[in-house]
Parts: sequence; structure tokens; C-alpha cells
Amino acid sequence: MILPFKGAKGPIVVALCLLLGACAPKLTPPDYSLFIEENPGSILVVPVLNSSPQVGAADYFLATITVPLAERGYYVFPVNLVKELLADAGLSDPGYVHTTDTVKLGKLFGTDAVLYVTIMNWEAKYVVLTTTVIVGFEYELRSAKSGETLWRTAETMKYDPDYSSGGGLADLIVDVVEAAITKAKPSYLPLARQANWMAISAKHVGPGQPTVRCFPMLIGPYHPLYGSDRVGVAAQTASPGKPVTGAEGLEKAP
Amino acid sequence: MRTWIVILAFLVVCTGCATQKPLYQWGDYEDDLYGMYKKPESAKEYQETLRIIIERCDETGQKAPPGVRAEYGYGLYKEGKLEEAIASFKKERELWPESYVLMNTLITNVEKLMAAKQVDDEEAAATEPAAPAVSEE
Repeated sequence: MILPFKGAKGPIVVALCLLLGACAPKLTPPDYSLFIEENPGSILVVPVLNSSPQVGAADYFLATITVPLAERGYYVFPVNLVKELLADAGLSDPGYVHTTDTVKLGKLFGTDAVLYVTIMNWEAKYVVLTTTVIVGFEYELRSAKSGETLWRTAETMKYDPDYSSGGGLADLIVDVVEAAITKAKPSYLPLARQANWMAISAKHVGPGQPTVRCFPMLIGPYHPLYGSDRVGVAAQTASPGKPVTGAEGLEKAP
Repeated sequence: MRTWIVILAFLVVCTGCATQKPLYQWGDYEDDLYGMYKKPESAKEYQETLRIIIERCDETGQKAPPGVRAEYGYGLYKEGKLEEAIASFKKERELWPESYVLMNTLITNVEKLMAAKQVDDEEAAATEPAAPAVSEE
């Protein structure tokens, strides 16, 4: 038995999980206690670090990160303005920005937390008509007060423009047309949008097959459901002094 | 039993947002921001998109999305419209108290720039009449 469920209701939860598009195999909630304690309301997104060979991938992610974060209920500092101000200050290299002191950086902008997005890998597989892209990315939210990690998630996503088709001749034609368009002018904006939404809100907004984790960023103060996801979590994870750990397998390599 | 409630709460949260109406209107924000990264010369379109978002929000009385007025103000600053830039930064600060520190820094810096410009202009004006006086000699 993979899932730690006992009793007659077990299958119901398993079914619910499958309906949701499959949660991670083990439902081990990450420690949200520091997140709840600090209760960040504003997020500064620093330029995306691209560790993959895909040129321009960082721009796709930066352009589509604001909407899911703001819609999650947070104040998001204007990403482009931040990028340009950092460049003016000699911090145009995302690799360098990601290693600078979070607390000092946070003070400059007056933010509660800083979000670091890293594209880990980007692999394109060329099939006859279309291209399948597999992208791995990581998100880490750090406190601007202490520099500690408040939330972290890592995902791998398979992106295939043809995947959503339900079959039939019409779909087949659409597939061919889509494949032709994809070949001619590949745009990965929908991929990045999907990845950002999935990581932050566990929400499916378009094509792509991500590894779903039901442990998104907690809902922020401007959202009407603010607080609704914190009651059970606080009881579950509140234990002072316990180090923050992400979902299983997310422990960052040194 | 408690574990069950926690798990169910998570599942409700996971699905709950799916039916939520968007909090803000974003127009072509994402596409045009990316467009600008791809082609820096299309910065005007991005600025225009920001202007449209603000205009629509003003019409409907909806709150402008976080950062949009700040970003728009920065565009104005780059166009040399310093007073309008300051007004936009002030509006962002008023709408979003979280932006207070950053907006204050930007407002102060642009005001300094304006003051410096004024001094330059005055100096230029002061030296102009001196020029013919020299030529008279």
C-alpha cells in the first residue's frame, strides 16, 4: 500500500486524488509553520535563473509569474521594474542575484519575502510532427526577515501541444495544424504559464502534464479564501524549532 | 480523524481555486511583457497595455493589479515624463501600502533628478545672455 490510508474511506481519498490529476504518491505536507508565523503579504520576484541550455527560457517564466502570484492573494513587486533596477545596480546576472543576501535585498525593496525561480533543465524531444518538451524547475520563497525558506517546490513538466486532443478527425486536423505552427514558431509561453500556475496554486490552466503536488503556496491576504488553508495546516505542522522541509524529494542539493 | 480533516482540507483548497473568479484584470500583460523581452523595440506596446489596464480599472472602479501603476510610472520615467511618473508611483503607494519603501525611493530619486534638471535649465538660462556680452567686447 503506497498511501498511508486505513479504513473504509481510504479508497474515496485515493479516488479524489486521481480525479484531481494525481497528487504526489505520498501525502506528506511540507512544514508550513514558518510561513504561517511570518505571514508574508508581499513578494519580490528576482530574475529567473536559467540553468538549462534553452536560450530565453527565463523570460517566459518571468513574464508569467506575476499573474498566478497576485491571483493567489499577494502583492507582487513589478517584475520588470525590479529587473531593471537590479541591472542598474549591477545585479543583472540572475546567478549573482540568487546568491546575494536575501535580507539585504529585501530591505532595499521593503518586501516580506523573495521568490527565487530556477529552471533546472529543458529537454526537447523531436518526434515526427511535434515536439515534446520536458522542463524541470524549482521555486523557493525565502523570508526577507531571516532569509529562511518559507516554501519550496520542484516540478517536472511534460509539454506537448497535441496532448489535449480527444480524438476524431477534427482533432487530427487540429493536431496537424498545431504541429505545423509549433514547428514554425515555437512559443513556450503557455508552458511557463502552466508551470507557474501549477507550482503556486496547483491549478491547471493549459496544455502540459505536470507532476501535480497538492502543496502549493498558501493563499495570501488579498484572496477571499485567505486563511482557509491554514487552520488544519497549523495544527499539523506547528512545532517550533523544526527545520522547514519541502515535499518529499525536494531537499536541495548543497 | 484529524489527519482526514487535514487531507480533505488540502483537497478542497486544491480544487477550490478552480472556480474562483480572477481578482484582477490583466489584459495582454503577460504577452506584451514577453513581447518586450523578445523585441525591446516593442516596449511601447507593453506601456500601452499597462495604460489600458489602468484605464479599465478606473472606469470600473476595480483596483489595479499589484505593480501595474509602478511599472507604468517607470515607463513614463523612461519617456522623460517625470511629473507623470511621480504621480503614478504615488498612486501605486496609495493603492498598495506594501510598495511604500520602493515607491518612496523612486519618488525621491525622480524628484532629485527634476531638481537637478531645473538647476541645469536655470544655469543654461543664466549663461545665455552672457554669451552676447562676451561677443560685444
